[in-house]
Amino acid sequence: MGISVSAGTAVILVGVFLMLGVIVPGMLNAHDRVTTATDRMDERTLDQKQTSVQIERAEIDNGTLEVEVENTGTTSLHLSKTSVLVNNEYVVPTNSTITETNDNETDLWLPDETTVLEIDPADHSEGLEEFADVKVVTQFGNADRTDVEGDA
Amino acid sequence: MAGVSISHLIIFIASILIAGTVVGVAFTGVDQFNSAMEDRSLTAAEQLRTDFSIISDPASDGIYENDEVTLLLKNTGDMNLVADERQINVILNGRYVPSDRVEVDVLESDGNNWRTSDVLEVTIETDGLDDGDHRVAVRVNSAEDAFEFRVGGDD
Repeated sequence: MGISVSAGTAVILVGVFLMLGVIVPGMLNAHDRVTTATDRMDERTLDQKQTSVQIERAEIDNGTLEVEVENTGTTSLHLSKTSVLVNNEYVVPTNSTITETNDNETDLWLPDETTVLEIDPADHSEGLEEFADVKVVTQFGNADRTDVEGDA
Repeated sequence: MAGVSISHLIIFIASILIAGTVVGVAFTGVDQFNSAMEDRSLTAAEQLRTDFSIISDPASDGIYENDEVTLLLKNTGDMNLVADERQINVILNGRYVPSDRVEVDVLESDGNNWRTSDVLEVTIETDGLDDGDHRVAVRVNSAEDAFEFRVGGDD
């Protein structure tokens, strides 16, 4: 009788250890996955709060729309991840130059730097004379909007 | 004496079998719980990493044209999303818009991969909107953004 109880208990104990071996790594993985995602979300929210852009000028110059935007926040932005809307239509600037360094190769747009985005009217469904407003949106969704000045 | 040994052997085998069955049943439950926990954590992580903003200009005339509402959505989250009408839930003025009346297109990109920072154009077919204020709410992977605009304000 004693050996039967001992053997049964031993089988259950081994089973409990096996179950713990399955469930503990699973719980740790799940916890780690959610914690990492929460951390990333917190970082993203912080970046969003610290980001701000301001359009200094949007005018038509020599058949091109030039939009001068300053990074007034404290985060580094990417020009390739910045979106531009003209009359609510998405356009891709043909050129973007950081005015402080006169650099049109870089993708980085650092705090306090001003970039000039050049928009070719051929990329837009409406003519240049119809251009009324411009909106610039950063990679975190922060935006600024202004009216276009100057005649086509 | 032999009878006692045989009865002990039977009790021994029975106890092993019962213990094994209990462990087997419990192990199956634990395994199912583990799979469910993994699925739930994956979903939760995806939801936390998904974010987008409606970047359309509400002051623009181009929001509502030809009985269609056109919105531009920017992926501001940490993960690439699938541009699929069935994954994007649209509620216009409090009413759900079925996916067959919604069209999506990732701008400046082929295919339906809506990568981070990419802009998605969502066109919502309507039965015609009255002049006045309107509201659209868009929900993707539990991330939500709403957009309000006016129709016929300055006509």
